[in-house]
Amino acid sequence: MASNDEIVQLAKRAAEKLRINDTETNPRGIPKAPFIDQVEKFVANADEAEAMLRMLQSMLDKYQSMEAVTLQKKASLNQRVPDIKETLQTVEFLKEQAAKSKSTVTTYELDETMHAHAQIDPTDAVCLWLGANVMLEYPIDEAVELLTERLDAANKNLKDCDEDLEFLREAITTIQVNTARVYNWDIQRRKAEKSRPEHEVVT
Amino acid sequence: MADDRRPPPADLQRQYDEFKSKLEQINLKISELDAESADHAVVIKTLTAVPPDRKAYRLIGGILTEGTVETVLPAVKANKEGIEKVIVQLKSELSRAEKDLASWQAKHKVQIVRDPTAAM
Repeated sequence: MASNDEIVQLAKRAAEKLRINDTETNPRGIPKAPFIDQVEKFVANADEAEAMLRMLQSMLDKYQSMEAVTLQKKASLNQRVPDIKETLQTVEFLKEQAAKSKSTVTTYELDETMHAHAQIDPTDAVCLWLGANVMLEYPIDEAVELLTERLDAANKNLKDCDEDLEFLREAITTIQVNTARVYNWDIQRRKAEKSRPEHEVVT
Repeated sequence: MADDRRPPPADLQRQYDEFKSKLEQINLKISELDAESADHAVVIKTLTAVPPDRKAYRLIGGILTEGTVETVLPAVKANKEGIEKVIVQLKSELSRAEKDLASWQAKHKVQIVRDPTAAM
């Protein structure tokens, strides 16, 4: 993920500012959003409050853009998994047919509106579409192996995506809460400044 | 007061939008080609791992041509190099467009503000 580096840098700076020694990350290296428990410990005046709000905003932007990227990745994986499954099923079916030395009669698409009959003789090889305009012939067992590997990898990727999304949502909430806390603190500070009496007398 | 050297704000907004959409277009194209190049890399890796006399097919302009790994691999490699060249070109185009935007911004003293109505 390209934006990972940026957010790591930001989180490091934030950690420095908040005097946190180490930044935790999730297994994919996404840093955890630090929680500001005592605003007054880190923000003393209006300038610092503004700087802090700016930093929080840029962190929020980064986390949100990472969330968008991850959502996109998840959508494309969700599309790919059924595709791989179907191919794997078909290849396994052809393997069974070959084991029984049976040919398969099917229809295939000749044109978008036209299908023709086809007979598939027992075969020990299939061609898999690799992408990049290339199709490669595989012995059936090797094809099953490859597809199973791809399916496992895609499923694992999907699980990672879900984990990342949950992690990112938590980070986004933390940053939003931080923003609200700093903002409210600043408002209260302003109020307190205004209502401070100019003179004091002793009774 | 009307001033020849100062275009009205609406024009500036339109010009800015044009810059923005150009940058977005280039960025989109780059990420598309990046994905394609990554695709090629995976295919090259797969092809290098199998026996060179294995049957392989290549789709050229809608026509599937039969060959072997040995004949297909160089073509895929050449294709990937071509894609990478285009990416380099687009990246220089992108930095040129960014510079254009920066100098336009300096020339007209434009500050870019975040749309307050946009989701935060």
